[in-house]
Amino acid sequence: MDSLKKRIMYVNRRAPYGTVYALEALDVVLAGAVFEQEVSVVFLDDGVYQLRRGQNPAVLNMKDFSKTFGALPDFDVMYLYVDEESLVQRGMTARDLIEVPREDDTDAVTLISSTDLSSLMDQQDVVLQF
Amino acid sequence: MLHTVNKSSSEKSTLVSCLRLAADDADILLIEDAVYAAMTGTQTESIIQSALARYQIYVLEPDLECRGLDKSRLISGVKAVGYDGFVELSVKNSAVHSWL
Repeated sequence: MDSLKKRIMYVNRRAPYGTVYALEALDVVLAGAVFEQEVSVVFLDDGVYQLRRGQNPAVLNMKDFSKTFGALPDFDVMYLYVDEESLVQRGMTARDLIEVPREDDTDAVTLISSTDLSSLMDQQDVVLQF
Repeated sequence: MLHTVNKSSSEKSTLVSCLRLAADDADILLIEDAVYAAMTGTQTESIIQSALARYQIYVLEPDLECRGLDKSRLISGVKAVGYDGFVELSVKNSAVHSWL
């Protein structure tokens, strides 16, 4: 692997709209994506609400940035990992989440177990949390 | 990896999530409002106690002092470090994950 390439993980732990963290995090991911690093995005705790299907922030005159997640595969961000335990704690399943199709039509939104997320996190060069 | 946690565990789920996901050889450093969790007698004491079997857990001493918390009442096994210790932990580990 190219030694200049770093493994960067962005961890989203906050619900959208109530604070600006979720929107800002997505901007950071998009800006960072142009540097062609090995990027993964994780949705943990209340962060899983960011990917909830059916958001309609137009009623509050806010931007529906959940649509922007759809652009991430075009920036080579191929994995949006959703912590399965956080979903269960919030009474949600994979069916409550938006789909983010990759070029080959597979879904970038991927459920991940605590064990797998723990080891994936441990392999990162950089972890940035929002 | 060094994991730093800065939120009180009686207000936020941050510490619990960190302890669920940190890999076995991780160092955990409690700073700012997270230092309350290092004290005996809180409702999260048992969480810290069981985590001590998997991790080294540190607490930042100036943040204890600032809040009037007495080092002698730390949960046994939690190590108090100063800013120099914080720097050492950051250098020793390949990466730092700041839980917010």
